[in-house]
Amino acid sequence: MLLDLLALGPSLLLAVAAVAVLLADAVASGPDFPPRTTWLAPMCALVLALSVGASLGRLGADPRALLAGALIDDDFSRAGAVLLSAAGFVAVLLSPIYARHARIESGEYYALLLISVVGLHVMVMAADFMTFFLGLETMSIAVYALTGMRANDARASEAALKYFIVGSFSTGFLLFGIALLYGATGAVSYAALSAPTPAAGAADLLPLGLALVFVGFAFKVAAVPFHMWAPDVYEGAPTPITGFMAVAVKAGAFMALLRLVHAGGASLASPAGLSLLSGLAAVTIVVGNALALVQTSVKRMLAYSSISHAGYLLIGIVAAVKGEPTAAGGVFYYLSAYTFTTLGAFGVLTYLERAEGGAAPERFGAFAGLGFKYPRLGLAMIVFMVALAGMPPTGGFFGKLYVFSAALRAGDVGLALVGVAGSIVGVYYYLKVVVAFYMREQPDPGPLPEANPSRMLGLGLAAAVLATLLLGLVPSPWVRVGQSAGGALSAAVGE
Amino acid sequence: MSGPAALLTAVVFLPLLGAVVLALLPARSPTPLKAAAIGITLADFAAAIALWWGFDPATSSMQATAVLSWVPELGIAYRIGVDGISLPLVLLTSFLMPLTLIGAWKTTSERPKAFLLSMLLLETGMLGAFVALDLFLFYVFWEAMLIPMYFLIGVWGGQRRVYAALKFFVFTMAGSLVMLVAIIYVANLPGGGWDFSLSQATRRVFDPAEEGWLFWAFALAFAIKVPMFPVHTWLPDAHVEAPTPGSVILAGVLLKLGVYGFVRFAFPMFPTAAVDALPILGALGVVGIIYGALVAWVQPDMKKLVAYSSISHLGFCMLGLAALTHEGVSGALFIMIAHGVSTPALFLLVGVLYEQRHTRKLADYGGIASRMPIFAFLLVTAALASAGLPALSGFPGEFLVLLGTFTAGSDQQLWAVIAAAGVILAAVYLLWMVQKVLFGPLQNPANENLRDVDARELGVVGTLLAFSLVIGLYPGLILDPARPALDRWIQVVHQQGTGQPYRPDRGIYRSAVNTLPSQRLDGPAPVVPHQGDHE
Repeated sequence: MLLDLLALGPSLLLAVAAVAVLLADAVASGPDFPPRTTWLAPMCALVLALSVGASLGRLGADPRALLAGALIDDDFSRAGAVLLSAAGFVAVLLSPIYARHARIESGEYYALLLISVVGLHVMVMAADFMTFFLGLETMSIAVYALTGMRANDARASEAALKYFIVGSFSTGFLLFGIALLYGATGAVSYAALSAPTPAAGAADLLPLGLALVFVGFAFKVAAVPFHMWAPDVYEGAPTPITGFMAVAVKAGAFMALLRLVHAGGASLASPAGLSLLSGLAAVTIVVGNALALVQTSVKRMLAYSSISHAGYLLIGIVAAVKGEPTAAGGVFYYLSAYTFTTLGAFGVLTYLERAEGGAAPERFGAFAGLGFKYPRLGLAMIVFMVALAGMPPTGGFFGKLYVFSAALRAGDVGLALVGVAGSIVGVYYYLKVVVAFYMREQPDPGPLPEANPSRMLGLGLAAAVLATLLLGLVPSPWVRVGQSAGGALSAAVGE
Repeated sequence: MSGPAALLTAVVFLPLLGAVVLALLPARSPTPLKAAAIGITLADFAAAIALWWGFDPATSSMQATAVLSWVPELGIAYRIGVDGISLPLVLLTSFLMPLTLIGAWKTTSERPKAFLLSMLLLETGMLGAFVALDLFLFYVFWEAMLIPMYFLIGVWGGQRRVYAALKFFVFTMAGSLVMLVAIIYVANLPGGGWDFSLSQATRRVFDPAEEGWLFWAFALAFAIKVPMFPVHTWLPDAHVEAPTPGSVILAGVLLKLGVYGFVRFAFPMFPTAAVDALPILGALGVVGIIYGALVAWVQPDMKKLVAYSSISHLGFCMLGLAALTHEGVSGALFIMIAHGVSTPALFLLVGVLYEQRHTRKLADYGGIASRMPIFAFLLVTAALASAGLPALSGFPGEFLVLLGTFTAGSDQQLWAVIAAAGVILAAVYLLWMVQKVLFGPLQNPANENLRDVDARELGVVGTLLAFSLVIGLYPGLILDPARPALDRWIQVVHQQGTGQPYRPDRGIYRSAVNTLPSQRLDGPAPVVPHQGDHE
């Protein structure tokens, strides 16, 4: 039991901190206490950093089943916890400057962020559908609330409502699928999928149940055609939360999917299922890129581009379903790079956004000349855009290489070429941001208000830039983490 | 890492290091920044000379090699080395860079720090791409060049600079990404695991259909860079909009990376597919020569004229490769260097005029030789060097390519005849430009007050033209150290691609009817009796 608690430490720490933040926010207000703006965000960032460190430190320990087999503590869970807590860490660093402006800086904001990270941890560690569902809902409800934090803003309310309704809808699919799988296998654990006990007349339930579960996942990662909610929600949510949603929710869902795929084994790899999944990946890449290309708002462009990244990740999932052993490591690496670049890009937007009164800088033209005005911010944006476009020497490139390599090994040359075609389109719209930053002189519609410096945001951006470059220049350590995470998945199947 | 390898690494990364130092210096006054950047590039050139000094011209194998573990999990390593083919290109790059910066002393007064950083990063990218012996490393350098060049065009360029910069970038990336898939395919070992080393890729035998696709995936990326007809359309836009230093480096070095890619990667890795593709490559080379020349002839804009002349000259390189004879390939290598000297001179001279009159239209000039006698002398010399006048650098390369093509076979003779017309056309369009700009009556009053080149401009262009004269008179300076590597290259590619050993007295299509005992290819390179003396 003690060992179980130790294994859950990085997640429990966050849950306790979330409660503590809420309590402290209630108790420590008033003139006798320092204003909460001075301690809320730093404290949460510190807790998340501790959680990252604790998970990192536990990498390599023996895998264990926790809480009667509901959760698995292996390198995959730990690597996932590192990534998700790190995403939360950067998101917290980006938050104060925005929250102050939008007047939503409160204990709830940070507590909800911490709770959603806990939910994500549970999703990745879950060994059965029920526990996974628990984690998913914990995360989702916290993020629905975060989306609607700016209660007086019409777009934020619309976004929160839309996200909530679509999210509940997708949960319905997921639950129905889980119920069917339970009918087919007589158990809720992932492992039961690989050896379904053929109950009388239940043979058809398995593919149907799997299809519905995949639909639920497709909603969460915003794969086409289940993506309609994403741009509006991304636009309406507080910008740091948009970044967090785009990366952490996606990372958690993809990692849970990887575990499911490995546990399910051959039962998933039916020809019809594979062609549906490949089609999903291809359509997501094509539509995501095509729609990103025509956006006039940078935030919406990033929303659609994140849809296209879900497509590239699905290429890796297809390879994993086909049993390619390097696919899990590739998807994990891609997610890691994508997490820091996308959070960084939204961080730059956060910095430039001045929502009060005037219009937020949405059009590309609004950023004219900023690269030379803020040299460090400009350099950071170049790094993020180059990484999102998948160019060296950044982590975005290495992740793409890794995933495409897995696809080629699995024999998916066609999917890899679709990915390449999408990337070429992507280069164009990511560069449009760089063009605006450096190659336009006249801001459109007008110059942005002066941005206030924020040390926390600077720290967050520096961390994101550093991670993006390190993942590209010194990939070895993180490749090994990914390999051992992927190895843990295969080992679990072998048992 | 051995001494020479450390020196080679220093040559590649010195500009990057310099860029980091420069970035930390305050940007208040541009003069010390410019001086520091020039100092860094000169130091880099000195290091490259030292590399040349220690280079053993008698061996065909890679020298100054190093293998440092980088991502062992994926079979990626820092593998570098130079041979007689890449060494001249390394020297050319490090030679052009300080000259370009000195030439741009006055023109880039706007945001000098960012400009110098872009140039230094670009230099590391180019040098790295020439010495990389690992496909991953090569790809990293290959892409790393794009971003600084994109900024050079997009920030310091002319009216339509954003359009030109994006077009340049998207064209190149389109080719590169297809190549990336091929690189991953080659590096994925059949039995599991990865190996990105070039030596693994050249040893590996693919089945014919597979090899064909892989070759064309690489060829597309390189053909866009060369640029070969019909994927050349980004070049005129990029050149016209780029600032003078950007054009100089673009024409002087970047285009050569396309040809170099064919020589170093596409041909040795996929020899059978390459030999199958020779008729197409040769035909596109000839089309490029004639098309580039004809289009250059009708350009009203000097820079566009020089840009199209590059398409024509690089067509000769591709024709020389497609001949697959020793002379043809030597000629291709020589043209890479020669074009890298004469075309930068032309761009710098066009820049001298543009700086003063802010127009590059031929029609706006005329008769300015009377106002600018030294400029006139330099422009005539640069034009003649580019047109291939004997004793200047343009001649030996084009002569070798034509010779190598003519002796390759009866089909190739027709190519050689048509390509020879390109030499004449080059004289036509270049002398046309010289005549329109320099001679005739001075009718435009705006040209009355043109100032002649100053000592700095004279020094830069004079150095380039003096070097052009040196290698024009003594081509062995480039070709002698390259000969062992070129010999070996042609033997191996010929043997593997056609199944027949290369006979220096026979071109590829004739050797097909000859059956000779196979030569040993894994031993030391055999001594080849030399034809077509060019010294």
